[in-house]
Amino acid sequence: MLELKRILWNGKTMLLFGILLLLHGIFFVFQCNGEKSITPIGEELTAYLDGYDEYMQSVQDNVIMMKENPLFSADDSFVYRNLIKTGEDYAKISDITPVEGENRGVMAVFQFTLSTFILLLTGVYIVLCFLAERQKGLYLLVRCTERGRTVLSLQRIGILCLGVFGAALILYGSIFAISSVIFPGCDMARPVQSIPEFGSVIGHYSIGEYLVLYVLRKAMGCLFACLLLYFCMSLFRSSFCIVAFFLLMLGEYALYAFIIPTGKWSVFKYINLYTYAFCGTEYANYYNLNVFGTPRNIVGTSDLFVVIGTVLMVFVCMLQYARQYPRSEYRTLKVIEKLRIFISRHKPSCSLMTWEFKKVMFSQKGLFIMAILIYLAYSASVESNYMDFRSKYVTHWYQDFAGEITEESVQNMYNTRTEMEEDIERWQASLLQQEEYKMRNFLMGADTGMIDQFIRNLKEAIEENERQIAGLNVVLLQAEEGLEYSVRTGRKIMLIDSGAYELLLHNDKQTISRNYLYTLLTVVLVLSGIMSCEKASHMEMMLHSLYRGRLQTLLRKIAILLGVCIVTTLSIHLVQYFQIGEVLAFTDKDVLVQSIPCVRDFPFAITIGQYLYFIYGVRVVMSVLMGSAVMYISSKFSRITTLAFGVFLLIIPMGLVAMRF
Amino acid sequence: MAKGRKKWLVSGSLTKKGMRRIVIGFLILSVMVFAGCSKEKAGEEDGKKNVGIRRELEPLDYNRGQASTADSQMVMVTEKGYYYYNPREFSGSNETMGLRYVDAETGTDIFLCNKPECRHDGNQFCSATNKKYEISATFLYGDRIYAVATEETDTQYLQKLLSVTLDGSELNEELTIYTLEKTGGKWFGNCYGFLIHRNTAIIGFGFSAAEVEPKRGTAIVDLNTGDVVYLDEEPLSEENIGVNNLNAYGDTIYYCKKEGKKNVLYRYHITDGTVDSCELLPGFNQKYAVLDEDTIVYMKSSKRAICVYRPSTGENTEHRLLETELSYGEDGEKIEKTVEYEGDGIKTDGTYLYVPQQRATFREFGRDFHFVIHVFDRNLKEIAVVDVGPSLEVFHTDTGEEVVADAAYWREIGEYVMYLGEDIYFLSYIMGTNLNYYVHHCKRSDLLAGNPQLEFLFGMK
Repeated sequence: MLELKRILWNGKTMLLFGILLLLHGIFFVFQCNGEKSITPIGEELTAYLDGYDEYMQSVQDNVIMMKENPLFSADDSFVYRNLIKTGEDYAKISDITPVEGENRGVMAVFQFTLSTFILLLTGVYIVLCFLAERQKGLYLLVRCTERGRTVLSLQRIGILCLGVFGAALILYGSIFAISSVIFPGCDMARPVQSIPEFGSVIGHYSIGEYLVLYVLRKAMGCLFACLLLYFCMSLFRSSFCIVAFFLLMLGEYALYAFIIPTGKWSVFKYINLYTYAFCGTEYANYYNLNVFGTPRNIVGTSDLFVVIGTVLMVFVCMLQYARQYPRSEYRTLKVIEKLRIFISRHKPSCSLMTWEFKKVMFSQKGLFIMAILIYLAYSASVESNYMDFRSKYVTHWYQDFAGEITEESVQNMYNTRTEMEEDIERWQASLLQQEEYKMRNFLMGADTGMIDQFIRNLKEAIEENERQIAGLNVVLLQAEEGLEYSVRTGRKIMLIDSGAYELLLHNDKQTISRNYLYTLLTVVLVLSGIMSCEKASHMEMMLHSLYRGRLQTLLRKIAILLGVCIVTTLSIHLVQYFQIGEVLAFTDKDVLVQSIPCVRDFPFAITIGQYLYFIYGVRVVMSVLMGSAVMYISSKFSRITTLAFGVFLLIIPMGLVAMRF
Repeated sequence: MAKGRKKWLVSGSLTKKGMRRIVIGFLILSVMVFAGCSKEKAGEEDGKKNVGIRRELEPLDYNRGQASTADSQMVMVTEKGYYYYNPREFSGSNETMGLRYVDAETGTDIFLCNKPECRHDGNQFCSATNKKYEISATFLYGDRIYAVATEETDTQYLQKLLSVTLDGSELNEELTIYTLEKTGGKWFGNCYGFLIHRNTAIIGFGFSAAEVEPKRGTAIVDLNTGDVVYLDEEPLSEENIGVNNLNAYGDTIYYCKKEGKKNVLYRYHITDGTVDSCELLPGFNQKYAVLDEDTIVYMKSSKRAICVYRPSTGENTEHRLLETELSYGEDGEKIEKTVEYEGDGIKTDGTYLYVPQQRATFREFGRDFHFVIHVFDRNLKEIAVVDVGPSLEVFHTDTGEEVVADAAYWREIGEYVMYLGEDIYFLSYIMGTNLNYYVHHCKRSDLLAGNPQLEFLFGMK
């Protein structure tokens, strides 16, 4: 109980977790972005649901057809066994009837990577707390006490389990609650196959059950990883273990990213800690691994691997902490120490800039934090893609009337609209005549098939023209506003399809706010120790008395600040630009920025391209200002205090303000 | 622990060293276990499952490369069936891969994917239609189909060598041939020539974009080690010349390059990696066949003769292509006259030489083109002249539909015949909504007997 209180039930842990939870919630709100395609909705979803039974039947038909094909029909082959297993597995879910409903909220939960990251971070934090007695030099004393070995190690494993599973429950519970508010009306009792991404899940699960299973799976994956770390820490130094753990996860990520699912090494893609812990919907795909010639489903095999691995690690950790005796001699370490002294004597001297860079980026883990946060921002962006909401009845008018907005061009649009309205009137008159004619024929008992077809064509033409007019009205409105602006200011305004720019600059505020928040978080975390590190090591006075220890050092620190702010801001913000560019093209960059309706009030007459440079420049300047503020606080207070200032005065208020959009 | 004792387990307690050994042992064991997960190894598979293999497998000496990227081994033939890849621009579909298999017995044409649940919609689990890759050439070698494909990432274009097992159970990335950083507009990966011989692949690769000079290169890949070397000084450059018309015999791979206005035939020696050129007569038109290490038969631009080059002596000899033309005198007397004819190319199956010719026959209301093949033995003695049929040929598809081959496209049929020992495969294509390919087969014995029975095999989808 005391150990539990020391590690989990204390103010510092609670405060840290509370902050993480709050940030986690804020970022999740940004993730629930209506501009992005979280999951198929509307017609796409209906088409999936309508075709579900047919697809299930087609799988069974394919199994029969492929079993008869000599290419796949060798009884002792993996391919044949895979066919049989696939047929049997799909037969189990063929009786399921998926139901239409709101899936976006629950899918946002499934896709949110930050939860897993915080979960893993929580686990690592708890494991690091286990080392407290080592850092205070009480290791041998604790081991000598009653229940200081087996019982203590068991208690710690229990605390780790409790911490990880508890955190999983809180993290996922909180975002599920948020998602229910943003996208209300999700019936969790529906079969999980109602969500297109989970159409191939084998088993009768409701969405709620599957979500619980998913959370347990994630927690189990994180627990396994943390137990590995805990075990390694009993063998090696803690800093080495952290680096090794990071490299292990990086290696697992590399296996996940570079192995293709159809390759011969695919087993390493799926029996993989990164895939298990971080990937949202990867295991929802139906895929059988070739395990000793037998097809094994990726979900079952990975579950088995992680459960066995976790149980094994529990025993190994317990055995290790209970039975291992510390050694006083570290021959290897001695060799390493000698090597280190040798290298430090012979390595060339570094410049002041290099030392400052090393301090911020390596000693204070700045590079590591930057990499993680930029990755998180990137993964949050690419979890879902943008949708092209533009109507084809609007876009072609932009092409037809592209060019400078003048009274003549607006008049042309009016003329076009009038012509189409006249067409509609003429067709409506003709429609009345045809219906009369049809009635006469019908009464005379004559065949009305041809007239029916003609009437249908007329109706379709009228509807089509009405849609065209509606589209033209949208363009016309933009042209009228542009003309009014042009007359008022004398500036040349062009008619352009500004959908991509409006999304980038105005409509997608959620992504912009999220990016600001990630940028700020990176700047605060990386730069919080930039000035305070000398103070913490009581070197501030000495530094000031050294040659180039004041202004020159400060200038180098400012240069690092600029570098961090520029790299972070551009890396995080430009992802949105490229992502939108993939769906909607950024064209007409050389026309006046006032051609985009949402930035018409911008006072300076510059082109769209220049405006984009300006906007991204402003974002960089803002992050530099924030960074300067953090640097200033860091020069007055310790790193922890600077972090607290940054979180409470900058990040959380900004997050809360941004949530209101 | 007592000083100097090396045991890792002392008095029932584990030392750190001992624990480390256990950990390392456990990790090695895990790697070994997972590495051995795939029970069926490629080499054993053929014997056990009798999966079809290509008839001209190693260590046969002769190997034929593609004539163009579109028909790289136009039909990949195995004992069980046929494999083909229909390029997107021809099939008219949106598939960027589209590897297919036609069963020889039933004629069933399916995607080369072993997953019954697959929608073949370009998803990452489909070995036939994975949209990540855009294939530009394929080659059947051993128990796999190798493909040169382009993958586009956010920042790069990667030209890769892929391999697909014959039962569609695996699609692997063998190696990356070249990586092009993304700059400016859209680039497309190309393959100018592709051949694998004795575990060595020669790949003429490149990238092209609108209104820009294409960049080319030639890679030699050792499939055993995965090593890639480039034939040119710069791996990829606008200055490089693409290789084409590849052939192989023994330890040598032959390829052509156009240098200025001159076509040059090169030899790449697999054993030592050296390259030399053949001293052919002026006017070499890139049509050639390799009969053995010391006999290269080729044609010149005049097309009225076939020439023989012997690398050991550097000797070139020329044999005119002659045929007997029949005409009738005013009194109805039959007149036989020996005239020269133009050959459309030259190919070999390792035993015979085949020289196709397009011969015009005059009829009452015009003229008709016939596809004629002249067959020579290794001593260049003509042993058969076979009329395969009129150019405007009516074929029946598997659905019984009648299709007519367009004469304009039959003209190039010399390029689209594969001579695989006793089996000869013809590819015809017809312009319609899309370009449709049809594959026919005939026995060599029937062809030599002057009676080629063209049997419809399948129409490419």
